[in-house]
Amino acid sequence: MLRLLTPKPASAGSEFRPRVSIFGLISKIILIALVNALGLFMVSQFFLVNQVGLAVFAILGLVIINVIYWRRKGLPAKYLTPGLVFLLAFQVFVIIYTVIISFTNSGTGHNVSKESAIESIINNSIVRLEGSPTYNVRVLEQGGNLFLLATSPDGEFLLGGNNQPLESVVPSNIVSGIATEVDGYSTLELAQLFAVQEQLAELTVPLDEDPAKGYLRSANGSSAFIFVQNLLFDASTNTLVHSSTGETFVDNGEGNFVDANGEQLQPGWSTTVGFANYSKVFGAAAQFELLGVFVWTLSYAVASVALTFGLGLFLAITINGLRGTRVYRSLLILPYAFPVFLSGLIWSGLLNETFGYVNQVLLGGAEVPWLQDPILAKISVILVSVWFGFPYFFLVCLGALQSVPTELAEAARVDGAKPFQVFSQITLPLVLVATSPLLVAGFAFSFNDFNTIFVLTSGGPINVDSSISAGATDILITLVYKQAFVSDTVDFGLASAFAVIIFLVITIMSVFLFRRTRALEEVY
Amino acid sequence: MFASHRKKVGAVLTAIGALVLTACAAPAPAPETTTAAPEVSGKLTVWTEDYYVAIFEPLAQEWAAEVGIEIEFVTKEFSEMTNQFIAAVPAGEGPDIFIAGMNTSLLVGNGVVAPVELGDKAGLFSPNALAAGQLDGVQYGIPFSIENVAVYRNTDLAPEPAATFDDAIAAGNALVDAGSADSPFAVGVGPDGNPYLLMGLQSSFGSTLFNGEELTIDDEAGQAFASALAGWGASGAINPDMGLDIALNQFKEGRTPYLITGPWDLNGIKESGVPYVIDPIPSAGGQVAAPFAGNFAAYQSAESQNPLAASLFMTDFMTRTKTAVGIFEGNKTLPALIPAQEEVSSDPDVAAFAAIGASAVSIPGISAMNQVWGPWGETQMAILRGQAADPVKAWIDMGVKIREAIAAAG
Repeated sequence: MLRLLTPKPASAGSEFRPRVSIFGLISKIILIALVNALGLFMVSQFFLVNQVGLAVFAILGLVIINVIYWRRKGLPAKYLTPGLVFLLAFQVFVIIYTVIISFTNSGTGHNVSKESAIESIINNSIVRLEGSPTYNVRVLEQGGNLFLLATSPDGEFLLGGNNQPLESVVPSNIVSGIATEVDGYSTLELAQLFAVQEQLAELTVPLDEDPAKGYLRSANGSSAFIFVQNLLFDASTNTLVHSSTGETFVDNGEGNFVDANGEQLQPGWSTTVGFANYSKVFGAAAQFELLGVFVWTLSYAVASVALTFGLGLFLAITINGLRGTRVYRSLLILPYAFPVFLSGLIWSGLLNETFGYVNQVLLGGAEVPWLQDPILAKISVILVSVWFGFPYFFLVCLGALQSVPTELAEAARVDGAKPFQVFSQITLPLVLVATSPLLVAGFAFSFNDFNTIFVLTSGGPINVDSSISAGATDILITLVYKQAFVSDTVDFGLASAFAVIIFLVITIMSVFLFRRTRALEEVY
Repeated sequence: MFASHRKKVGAVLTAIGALVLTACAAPAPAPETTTAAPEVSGKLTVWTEDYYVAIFEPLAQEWAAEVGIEIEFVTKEFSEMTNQFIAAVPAGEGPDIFIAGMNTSLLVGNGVVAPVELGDKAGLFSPNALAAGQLDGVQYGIPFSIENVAVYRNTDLAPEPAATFDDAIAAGNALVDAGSADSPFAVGVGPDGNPYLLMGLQSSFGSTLFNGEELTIDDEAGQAFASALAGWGASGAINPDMGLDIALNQFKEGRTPYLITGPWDLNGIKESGVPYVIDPIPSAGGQVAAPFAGNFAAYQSAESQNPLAASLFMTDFMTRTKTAVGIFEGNKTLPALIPAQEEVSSDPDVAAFAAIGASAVSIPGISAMNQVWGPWGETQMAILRGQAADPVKAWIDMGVKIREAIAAAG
């Protein structure tokens, strides 16, 4: 049909080719050049941080993009590629990253890389030599290296640098007993020190040829103390050794250095732990409870979507064709227009057992434990989620109803169908065809409806018997959030394992439900 | 592992950006180097909650101008900032300085804070507050305020201090019966429990949390507290539906005679015009009701890119009497710096809080404490709500749970 409308080119070739304008060509060149520049920059960055795998991946991606856009053929690929790139960057990468984290013990106590942990342990073991005096110092510079000019408490003047022990020196300037300058060196003032502050932080001046005597360090550039380093890292044996006692701390393979008694050095580091997190999820104690949480999550999602859709459809049918539909529509959209975080907090206040408006005013001082009783709390969160959600389905159903041809209903009526039959056999199926993909999406959304649950009850009421801190209204995603962020000890590894499992569950359910939806579409 | 790489990428990006900027700026004439004020060359980033941003920022800006650095405050959400700090530092996205409630063992255990050597200035600080900033004898946090909770008493409703908690409840109930109050006693425990506020009542039974490394929270003294808590929940002496905001509002509107809270509510209560005095927490179990001593501190990030400026902030700014008095003007909480304590001791409310604080107990500075808060609050709440059929058993179960968590955390 399109072919007929298109004027045939004078020299009719075998294939129709759109004419390429100069402007279009130039903008194409500029855009692809920009993409290539960005891509090459990323590749160089990946190489710089030794991520060869990612670099190769990026090069491949760039080649593919260039081939796709410089090729004459393959128009669909040109449209699909940007979407695919964003899908990879924002969805696939996140999923892969979550899976990787789920195999680590990342979390409280295992927060940093091993190198940083060793650095921290060593830095924390550098302590001021007990009872040692304070030295007044100036920071000197010569040939890009820093030196400390120290005035000892006895009025002795000393100079030294990294790997260059302190030695007596004759200063060229002394201000109120403190040496400030030495010939051949330039004295750095505070403002100049800021420019070299990382270098200053690493300046350690040995007191003596013997490192065990300690060394001078200055954190502020004007006074210094004698420090000794208690722990040394031995890379060849992968152990930390105490410099005076000789005690050895070994890597226990679980992200900690431990001594012979199993006492850990803090901090530890993040390391892979295999399937430990998954076995925790499916551990004997948690399994039964987790099943309970899963069943509740499922019932919450189903009840919430069913009631939301039911109420929305009911209101749509009632209001459809009524005078002033627009006014009703505007009014009913209100709950949808407020942010859930705000109205959720308001609802949790309204439903407070002693002080809430519902009990105090509407029920005349009754003490109904809306959010405190495990069963009532479940009902309350479902009802509030319906309040949040019905305007959406109301709008969708209203639109769907208005698109159902009236002839169909009339024809059915002529054939003698009763009003209910018309609704259930003609109107409802047609509405369902339009809305069933939205129902699946709504189900997936409710399955992960973090906002409603967390703002309203934080997963409570609390169940003290729970070994995984699951409250009565906790759905899987709020449980994950509690594991990862709320308690005093966070466990990103375990939370990621939960997230991967939720992801799999939702994927399987969505695939199944979309199959069913397609069947529905084929029937009608 | 990704995190550390991200940091490097950031550093490289910054470096390249700097190169580009330098290249662009190259043709410009060289700037004059002889300026009167010290040139700004270090830039500190500080993370804290909005309450302390308002208090610290003017003081710190004045100091920074004097020293010749720039300082930027970033407002963080109170309940999330510690976890955010712990996550951001290894990624190279954290601040140089972090100001928060003392949590030294947690921060050191995650490798995100650097040791600080105060030298002779250590003698300027209250020893207990300073000790809370240490782990294994190494100083990490520099304390600035020492806080403890107390009872605010509405002197119109209750002219005389209550000798015991039972007396307070009896007086409160009489007022409720007479219609001149809504609640006999206000303490904001809801919705998740608040062991910090209730510690005074708990310690009056002789209950402690740890003896060294050994957990003692579930001993007989603790169990006695659990029984009493169940009674208070049932009689309405402590209402589990009362959150912090409701409790404060009840007191400010004169609808309750007693409120347990800290000095952070002092300014608000003053403004409400309710006549009040600050009393010690009345004893419930016969012994002294000792509240927690909470400390607030500044920490230096382990990954600070400005070690000199950060170090000056910790050892110079934080040790100045002027700073400590300035902070006090904002938070009305006893300074940790002894010279500042002497300067502010004329304020009667501060004196009252400080006198009560003399009996306060420090929060145990061991990493096992991180496993206590969650089950502790949950169990208190379950007992108050009457969800635990046997409060003593619930309390013993809580002990089991905490021990398991401590063992699991190593």
